[in-house]
Amino acid sequence: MISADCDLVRDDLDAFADGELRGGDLRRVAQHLEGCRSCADELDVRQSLGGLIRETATQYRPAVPRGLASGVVARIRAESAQSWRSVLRRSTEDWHWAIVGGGAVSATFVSALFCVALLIFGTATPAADSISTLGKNLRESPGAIYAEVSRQGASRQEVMLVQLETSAAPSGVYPAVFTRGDEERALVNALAETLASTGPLHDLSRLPADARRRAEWLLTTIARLRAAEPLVGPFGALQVHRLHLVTNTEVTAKGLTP
Amino acid sequence: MAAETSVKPIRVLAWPDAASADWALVQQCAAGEEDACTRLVTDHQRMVYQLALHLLGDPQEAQDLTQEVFLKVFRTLSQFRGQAALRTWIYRIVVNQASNRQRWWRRRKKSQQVALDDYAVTHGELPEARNFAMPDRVLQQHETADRVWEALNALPFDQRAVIVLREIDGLSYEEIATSLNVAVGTVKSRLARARESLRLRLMHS
Repeated sequence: MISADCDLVRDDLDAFADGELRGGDLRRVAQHLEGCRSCADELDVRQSLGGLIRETATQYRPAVPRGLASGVVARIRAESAQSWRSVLRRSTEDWHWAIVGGGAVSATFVSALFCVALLIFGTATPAADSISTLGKNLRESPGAIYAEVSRQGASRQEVMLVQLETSAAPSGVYPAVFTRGDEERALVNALAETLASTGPLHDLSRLPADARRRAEWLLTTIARLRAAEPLVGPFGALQVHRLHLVTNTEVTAKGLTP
Repeated sequence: MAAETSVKPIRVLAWPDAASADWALVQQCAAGEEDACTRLVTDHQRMVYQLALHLLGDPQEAQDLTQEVFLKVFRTLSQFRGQAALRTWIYRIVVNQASNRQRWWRRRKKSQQVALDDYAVTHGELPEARNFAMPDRVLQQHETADRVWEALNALPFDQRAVIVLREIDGLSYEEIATSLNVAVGTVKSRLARARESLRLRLMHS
């Protein structure tokens, strides 16, 4: 006859059979089993099932295959030999490669230092075919004359740069704001021709003696003429402070003959 | 003169000693000492092979699995922290690897059952069966073992794992829980279901 107690005990019957019950639970189940034939039979069934399984396992206990340990260790050894740590260790065992690698690194470092020194202490003068010189030359036309002018009585801060109209200057690039007489135009053209014949110049003192005397005479004559007839533009009478003449535009490139 | 009796003290291998011995062995293996690796395999190969055989039911598969398990053990030795016994840790690897292999089998629709006769073909007859005249008792044992073996292999993998670990390998509920990475309550319920299922199969076979 199965009672409510039996239901409770049977939940713990596996644990009892497996020796997993402790303390009060163990006593409760053991006491119940002493007085309950049905639960004791159930316990027998479970225990005999366990015994049957163990007996079967005993019969099905084949020998471990031979060479298992050596096979596993051999594979582990092979895997270990292929690992990156082993490869690194083997490569560092040969100092020859360490010397070669160190030399390569040192050479690279010295070369980098040399390049940096060249960049820092090398010549600062831009080359004739440098990008900046090229751009500067392309913006200027040979034979053009620019003048730094200001209104009569104005301060030096109001100086303007204007282009004088000459026969050599391309029209339309810089609209001329001053018109001069034929005499001054002829003088300016003669000056431009004198200066342009010797190539790009920035200083009259570098001209040959005869060319320098001619240029000075032309400039003096232009100045005298300008003093007699002041420039007249949209702002009234202007005072000329300095003249700039573009004597030549030279564009060269490596490998090409200018 | 009465003979003096002397008592020679015997060193008992207590659990902490076993744990530290395991730990030392693991450290030696991790350091790449081949002798230690060989000892680890030799000490545990029977346990691993038999568990693999009981879980998979096929000797060849069990042999392959045993190799895989030890390779896995050596590859993951650095993860062994000693919280569980080395044996339990290895059990866990065996069960996981066997479970993976079982899933792969299922995908390949390979039969999961191995009859005793197939086993005999690959591994020879059982010792009793080699007798020229097989007595009835032995014959009956043979048949019973065959039925139990088939019933065991017909169980779902998770139930088979708990029953094998408990009944054959004798692990406690807690050790089984650690090996399977489940709660002790889960171990109890799986054991109960496995035993009931086995009992029904054996009654009807």
